[in-house]
Amino acid sequence: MPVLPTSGAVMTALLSATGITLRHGQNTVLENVSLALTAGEIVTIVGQNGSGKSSLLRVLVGALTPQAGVVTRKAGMRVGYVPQKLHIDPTMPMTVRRFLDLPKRVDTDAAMQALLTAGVPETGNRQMTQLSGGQFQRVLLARALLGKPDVLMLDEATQGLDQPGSARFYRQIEDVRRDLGCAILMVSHELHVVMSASDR
Amino acid sequence: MLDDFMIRAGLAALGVAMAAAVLGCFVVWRRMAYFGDATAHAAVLGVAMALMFGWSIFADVGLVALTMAVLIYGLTGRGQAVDTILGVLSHGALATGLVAVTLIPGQRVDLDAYLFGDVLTVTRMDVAIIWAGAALVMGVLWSHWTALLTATLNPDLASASGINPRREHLILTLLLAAVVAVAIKVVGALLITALLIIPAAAARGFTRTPEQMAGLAAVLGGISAVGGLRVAVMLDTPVGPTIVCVAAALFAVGTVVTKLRSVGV
Repeated sequence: MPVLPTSGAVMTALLSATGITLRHGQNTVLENVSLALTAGEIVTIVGQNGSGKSSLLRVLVGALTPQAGVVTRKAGMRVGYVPQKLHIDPTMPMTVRRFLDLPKRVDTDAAMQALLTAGVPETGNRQMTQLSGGQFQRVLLARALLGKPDVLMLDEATQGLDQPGSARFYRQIEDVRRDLGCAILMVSHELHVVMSASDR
Repeated sequence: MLDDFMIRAGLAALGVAMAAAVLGCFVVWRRMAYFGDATAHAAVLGVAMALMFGWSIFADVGLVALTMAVLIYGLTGRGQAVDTILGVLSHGALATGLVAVTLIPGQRVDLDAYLFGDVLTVTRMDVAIIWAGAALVMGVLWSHWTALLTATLNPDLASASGINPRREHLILTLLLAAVVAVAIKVVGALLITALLIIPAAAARGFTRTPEQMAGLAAVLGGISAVGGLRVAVMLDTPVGPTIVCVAAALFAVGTVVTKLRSVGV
């Protein structure tokens, strides 16, 4: 994993990671990775499968604890996280509307607005397990938006979407940045689609 | 009112069944059934200790179940495939408990009471402890509901929202030990897992949200407890297994109805 460029504006960074090293047993997944994210920018981490992109995101989210390095978050910063895949066990009934209430209850107007922003306005009453891959990703996005995030993190958000679908999804991400002013950190292996949407 | 042994038995069974049914939803969602089995089987070891040292059954069973639950919790945190270890711990604890009970000098122990429950002999004190335990379990589930649900859905999603998924898992583990402790006199060590998972599984097909499923599971658990007690008295069968039979029958009916509805009958 290459060392990512650290933004010059470290002081104003919403989120920064310095010297992150992460090991799973014998494997070194991340070695001395640093990165900083400032308000309103879109940054995409591009790399092959297995290069540690998702692990880096999980470190930044707080789901993994690195062996070395520090993650600094601006006080009170809110993270909206869209995981690479989310398996909902078929034994758990879960409507889209109820899912949007996790982890905090939101009022119905806000929920409908988030679904509209994410491009899936008609799904509120459906079961999560009945959604198509694309709808599912958009509902995950809607849920992340409801937390009014300062940083939105998307892990391979366009997995399972065809190319026009991916392109539409990334345009929507740009709209989200424009409307909410949040920084966006994405992980992807689709360089060509990503290029147009990100700042670095 | 509590002078009537049937009322006491009914209250004890109702309290245990409803708390177990709601907690059982998490056991089903997280696929912890085997985990529940191991914790419950360890209870027999707790019974042996209680008889040996003359302590309270609830306290000893709770203590041993807690130890087992925390042990398994520690093992699952390391990302190993744990079902083999669970199998060893579960049946190892059960066998050790069975052997230990027979080694107690001067006692002829009716082991069936602890393996399959003996709810007709519960005292007022037992009922009070069972309801206190059940209320504790329900109260913790209520206050942690959203965090538990988020952590169950996806640990990373929980972390991103500032919820520690390991902590929530530990809470469920402790609650499981509490349910085992209060359920041992009602359904016995071998059938506790049934009270956890059968009402939850029966409720699944009729519900659209986790809350509906937990609510319906509690109702079905309650019906199984009261219905099972009545049937057991009518047919003169052991109460614990009869309660589980009623729950299983409800599950079977529910499954058939769900299937019929899905094909549009």
